[in-house]
Amino acid sequence: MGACSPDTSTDGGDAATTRESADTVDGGDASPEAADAGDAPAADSAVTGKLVVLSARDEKFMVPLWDLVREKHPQLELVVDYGKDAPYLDRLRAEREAPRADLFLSKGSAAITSAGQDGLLTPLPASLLDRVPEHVRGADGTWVGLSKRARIIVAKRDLEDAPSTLTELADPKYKGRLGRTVATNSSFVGGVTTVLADAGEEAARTWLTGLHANTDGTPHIYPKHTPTVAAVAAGEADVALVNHYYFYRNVLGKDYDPALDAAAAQAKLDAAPIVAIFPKDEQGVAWNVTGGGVVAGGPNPAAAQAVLDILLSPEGQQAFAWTNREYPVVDGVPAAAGVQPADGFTWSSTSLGALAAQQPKAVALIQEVGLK
Amino acid sequence: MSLLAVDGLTVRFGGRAVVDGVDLHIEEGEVLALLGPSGCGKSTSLRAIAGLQRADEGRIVLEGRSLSAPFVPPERRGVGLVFQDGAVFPHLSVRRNLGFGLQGLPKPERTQRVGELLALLGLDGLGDRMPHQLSGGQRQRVALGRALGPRPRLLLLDEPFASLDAALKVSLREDLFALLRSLRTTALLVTHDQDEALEVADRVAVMHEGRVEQVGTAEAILERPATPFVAGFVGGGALVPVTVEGGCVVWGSQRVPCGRPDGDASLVVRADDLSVGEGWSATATGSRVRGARRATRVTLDGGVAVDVVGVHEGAVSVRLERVRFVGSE
Amino acid sequence: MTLSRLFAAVAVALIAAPALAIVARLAGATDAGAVLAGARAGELLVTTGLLAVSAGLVAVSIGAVGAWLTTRGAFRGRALAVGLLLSPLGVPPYLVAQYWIEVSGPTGPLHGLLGGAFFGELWAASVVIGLCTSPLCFGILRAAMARLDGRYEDAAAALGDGPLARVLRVVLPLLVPALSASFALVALYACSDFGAVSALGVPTFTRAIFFELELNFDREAAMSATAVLSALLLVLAAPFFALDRWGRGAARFEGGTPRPAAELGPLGQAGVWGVVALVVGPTSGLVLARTLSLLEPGRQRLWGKAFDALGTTLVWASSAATVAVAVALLVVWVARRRGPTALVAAGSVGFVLPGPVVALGVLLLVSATAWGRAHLYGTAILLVGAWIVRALPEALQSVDAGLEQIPSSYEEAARTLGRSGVGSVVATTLPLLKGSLAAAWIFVFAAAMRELPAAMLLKPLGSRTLSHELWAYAQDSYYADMAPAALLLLLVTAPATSLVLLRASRTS
Repeated sequence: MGACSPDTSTDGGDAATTRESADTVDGGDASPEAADAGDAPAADSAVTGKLVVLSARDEKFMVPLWDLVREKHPQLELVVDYGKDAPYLDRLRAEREAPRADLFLSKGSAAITSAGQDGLLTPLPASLLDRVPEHVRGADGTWVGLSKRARIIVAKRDLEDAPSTLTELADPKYKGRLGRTVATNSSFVGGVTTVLADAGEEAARTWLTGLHANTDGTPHIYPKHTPTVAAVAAGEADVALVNHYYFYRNVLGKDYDPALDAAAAQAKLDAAPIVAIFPKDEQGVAWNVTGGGVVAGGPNPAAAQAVLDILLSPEGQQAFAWTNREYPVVDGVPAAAGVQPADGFTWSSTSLGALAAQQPKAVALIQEVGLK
Repeated sequence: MSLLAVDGLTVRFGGRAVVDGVDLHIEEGEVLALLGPSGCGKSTSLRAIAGLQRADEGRIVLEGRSLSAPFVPPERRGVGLVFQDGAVFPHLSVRRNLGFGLQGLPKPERTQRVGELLALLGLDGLGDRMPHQLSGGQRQRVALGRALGPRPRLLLLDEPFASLDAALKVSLREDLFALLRSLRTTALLVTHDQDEALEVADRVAVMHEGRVEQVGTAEAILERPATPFVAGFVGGGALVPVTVEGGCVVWGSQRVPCGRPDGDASLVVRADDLSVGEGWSATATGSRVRGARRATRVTLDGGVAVDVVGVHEGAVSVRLERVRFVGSE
Repeated sequence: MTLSRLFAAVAVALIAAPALAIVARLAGATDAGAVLAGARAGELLVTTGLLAVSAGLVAVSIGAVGAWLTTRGAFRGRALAVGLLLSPLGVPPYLVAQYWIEVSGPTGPLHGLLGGAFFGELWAASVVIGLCTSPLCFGILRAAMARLDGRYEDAAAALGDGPLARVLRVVLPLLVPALSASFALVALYACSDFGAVSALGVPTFTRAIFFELELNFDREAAMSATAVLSALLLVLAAPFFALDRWGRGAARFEGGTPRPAAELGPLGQAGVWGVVALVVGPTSGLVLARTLSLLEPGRQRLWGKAFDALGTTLVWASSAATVAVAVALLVVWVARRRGPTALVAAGSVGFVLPGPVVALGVLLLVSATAWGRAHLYGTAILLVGAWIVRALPEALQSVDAGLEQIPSSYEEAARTLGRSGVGSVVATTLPLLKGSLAAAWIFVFAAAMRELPAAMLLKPLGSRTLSHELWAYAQDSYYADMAPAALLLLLVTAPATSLVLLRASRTS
C-alpha cells in the first residue's frame, strides 16, 4: 500500500539537522572507495531509485537522518518501515529469494548478527567497515554499528543511598523504589544479556531475582523508557534502569536543540530533579549498538551503501547520534553537548558476538525468574 | 403427440425412491391433476418437470424436445410454475412482478403485455401496489399472471390454493381455471384436495408412494377405481370384500347382478350407494355428518363399517343399490 | 450448481487455513520452544482464566441491573439511558485502558489520587474489559427480559412470594440461558483481548504470544511456543464457547405477555443514572473527555500523519468488509440452499482465535510456500485476510439470520421465469438481504478499523493502521500526540458500532 514518507516528525516540531562539520575527523564527506567491494557508488554522486529501509529503531530517532539523506540524494525515493527486530528477521528470511528491502537497521546487535550469520546480508566494503572500531561491527563484515547506547541508572537527585553499580539494584533496600521497563523491552533484554555474558548465569540469575523482588507487584513497571524516566522525575520511583539517552531526552529536551551549548546544557542538568549514574560495575557499563547492513540480493544496494556512508560520516553521525543523544561510533566524533563523554567511564569489553550467542538464554532466564 | 411426455420418472432421496417410475402424458390444452396425499411424490414430480429437481431416471419430453437428457436448466424450459405460497417478489410492485419473465421483450411490448395480464387477472388499478398491500387471493392472481406472462407452453401449479381459506379457495379456483381454459393453457395441477382435482381437471392422475396408480377422467376414477388406494382416497367410501356367485354379488341376503366372473372381489361402497332394506344386516354404531348431510355408520355383520344416508339406530338391514368394483378383471 | 459449492468450500478452506497451520505446527512442536511455553502455561492459565471469569461477572452484573431497570422501569430519558449504556462498546478497550494509565500517570489529573493504582493489576483489567463489554450483556438480557411472560411472576405472587423471592425463584432461573450466554461471550472476549491487558501490564496468553512473536530471535522456537500457547488458550476458551452455544440454544421461551413497566420513583431513577454514570464515566465518557482535552492547537504535521493512517486503514478495512460479506453470502447461501450446513460452522473458526493467534496462523501459512514468501509477505493482503478470518463469524451470523427469512421459492420462481442460477439470486434474494448484508459489512469494517494486535504483527511495509499509530504514541506516553488519532478512530468506529448494536437490539 502507500509508501510512508517520513517527512513528518513524531512530535510535530521540526528536528533541526546539524550542518556543522566536525573539525578533527578525517575526510568529512569521504566517499567509500570502490576498491574492495566493487559495487560501491562513485564519490559524491547522488543515488537515485527507491530505497526500502527496515528500521527497528523508532521513527522519532530516525527523522533527522532522513532529512540529511534527502538533502544529499534528492532523487532518492525513501520508503521506511518501522517495526521490531524479530519480525524483521522473519521477513528477511521469508523474502530471501526475492528481497524487497535494501537496508536493515536493527535496534540491537543480536538481531543483525543473526541476520549476518544467516547469510541475509551482503559483506560491506572495507571503506565502510574500517570507519568503525572492530568491536562495534560484525565479525563477518556484514554489518556496522551506527550509534552506541549505554545502560545506566537514573536516580533522584540527592538520593542518600543512590546506587553506583547495576548489581546494587537487586538490593532489597530498593524494594518498591525501583523503576524499570517491562521485561519484554528489547533494551532490557539486551542489558540482561550483557550481565549474563559478563558475569555468568548464576550471578545473572541472582541479580534478576533481586530485581524481580524489588519491582514485582509495584506500579513501577512501564511499557517504555520514556515513562520510566518521567516516573523518577516525578518522584514516583527513586531509581530506574534505562538507556542513557532517555535521561538526556528528558532533561535536555525531547527535540535536539543545536543552539544548546555545553554551558546551557550543564545548567539544565544542574536544575533537573534527576541525575544519571553510569554504573561502576567491575565488568564495565553494558552497551549496545544500532546496526546497519545491506540486504543480500536487495533491489538497490548502491543506495543502501550510500545511506550507510552518510551514517558513518561525521555529518551523519551528528545527525543520527547527536539528535538522539546517543554515542557516535566513528572515532573522533564527540557526543552531543551535555552528554557524558564516552571516555568518562569504562565500557564493557564483551564482544557483540558473545552477546548475540547469549540472547536466547537471557530471554529464557527472564521467563524463568518470572519478570513481567 | 402429447405436449408433455414423462416416462419412468424416478427421483431418489438418500436411497429411497420418492418418485418411482412415474409416467404422465398431457395433451395440448388439457388440464391434468396430479392428486395424492402428502409425501406421495407429486410435488417432487412437478419440480422435476420444472427442472428444479434433477431426476435420477426417466425421460421428460416437452413438445418433442428432451428436457432430461441432456439436462435443461429451469430457466430454459419454457415451463411456468405457480408456487404454493405464490412466491410473489415482495420487493417488486405488482407490475414489475408480472413483467419479471418478460426480460427479452422490448419495453413497449413488455408494458403492453403487463397491461394485458393486469386486465386478465382482474388486477386493474393494482399495478403499482406492493405485494404486502394485497390480499392473499390477489397475490395468487399475481403469481398466476406472472407465470403466464412469457406464454409458457406448459403451466405447472403446485397446490396454489392451499394457503387460502375455504370460501376464497373455491371462488378463486373457479375463476382462474375458467381463465386457463379460455386461454387454452396446458396445465398440470398438483393437489391433495380431491374436490379440486375432480372439479377442475380434464383427467386426474392419482399418486401414492411415488407411483401413479390410475390416470383417467373424474368419472373413471370415481366409478372404476383401479386399486384399493384409489378407491379409498377418492370419493370417500369403504372397501367391502365380497364374493361373486353366479354372476351376482352376494350382499347379505341380496343378490345383485354384475358382469363379473365368479370369485372374490372388492367393492367400494359410498353412502349414496346404500339404502335401508332387505340385504345385509348391520348394526348402527354412531351418526356422522358427511358434507351437508347426516349419515350413520353401521357395521355389517362380518366386519366392515359403511356409511348409510339418514339417521338410524340399532339393527339395520342395508341394501346395495350400486355396484362399483375396485380394480378391473 | 456444484460450482458454487466448490467456491464455498475453497473460501471456507482459506478461512480455516490459518488455524490448521497452527495445528500442523503443533504436531511438530517438540523442541525447546514448546517446553518453554509449557513452563509458563500455569501462570498464564490462571491469570487468563481469572480475568475471563471476573470480567464476565462484572459485565453480566452491570448488564443485568441495567437491563432490569430499563425494561421494568419507566422514566423520562429512558431511551437516552439505553443509548448511554450501549455506548462503551463503541470505544476500543485498549483506548480505555490507555486513558486509565494516563489519568493516573505522572502527567494525568488524577495522579495524586490514583498514582500507579492500575498498572499490573488484574482487577483493573477485569473492570475495563467488563465495562467495555457490558453492552453485549445489556443487549442480550434486555431482549430476554422483554420476552419474559409476566404471568409466571403473577402466579408466584399468588402463591405467596414477595418481590425479592419472585426475582430469585422465578425470574432468575428463566434468565439463566441468557445470563450464561452473555457471561460466556464476555469471557471469550477477555480471553482474546490483547490491547487492554497490554496497556495494563497483565500477563495473559495473548500477550505472551504477541511478545514471543515480536521478541524471540529464534524464530523456530517462537513459532513452536506460540503454537502451543495458542492451543492452551483454546483449551481454556472451550468451556466458555460451549456455555455460549448452550445459552443461545436454550433461550427459547418465546411468547407470553411481558410485564408492563412501572414508573420508577426518585430512588430508582437515581439508581439508573448512577449505573449509567458508573458505566459511561470510566469508559466512553473518559475517552471522549480526555481525547478532547488533550488535543493541542496547531500540530498540522501530527494531524497529517493521523489522516494518512486513517486513509490507509479505511481502504484496508473497507476491503476486508467487502470481501468478508461476499464470502459470508456465498458460504451461507450454499450451506442453507445446497448444503452441507457445516460450512457455516467451519467458516466461524475465527470466533475463538484472538488477533495474535490469527496473525501467527497467517504467518505460518505464508512462510510455508515459496510463492507465498515472494508475493504475499509484507503485503496488506495478509492483514486484510487476518481481519476477515476474525470477523467472518459475525458476518455469517447476520447473513444467516437474514437468509432464514427468505424462502427459496423466490429464487425458483425467478428461474422458471428465465433467470439463470446466479441471476435469480441477484434479482430476488439479494435485494431482500440488503439489511443483513449492510449490518455485516458495517460490523466487519468497524472491527477491522479498531483491531490492534494483528495490525502490529502483520504490518505491511511502509504504513500502519490508525490503531497502531495511536498505540505507538500511547506506549511512549505521548498522550497529546495520540489524541488526533484517537479522535479520528472514535469518529469512525463509534457510529458504526452503534448502528450494528441498534439493529441487533431491534431484531432480537
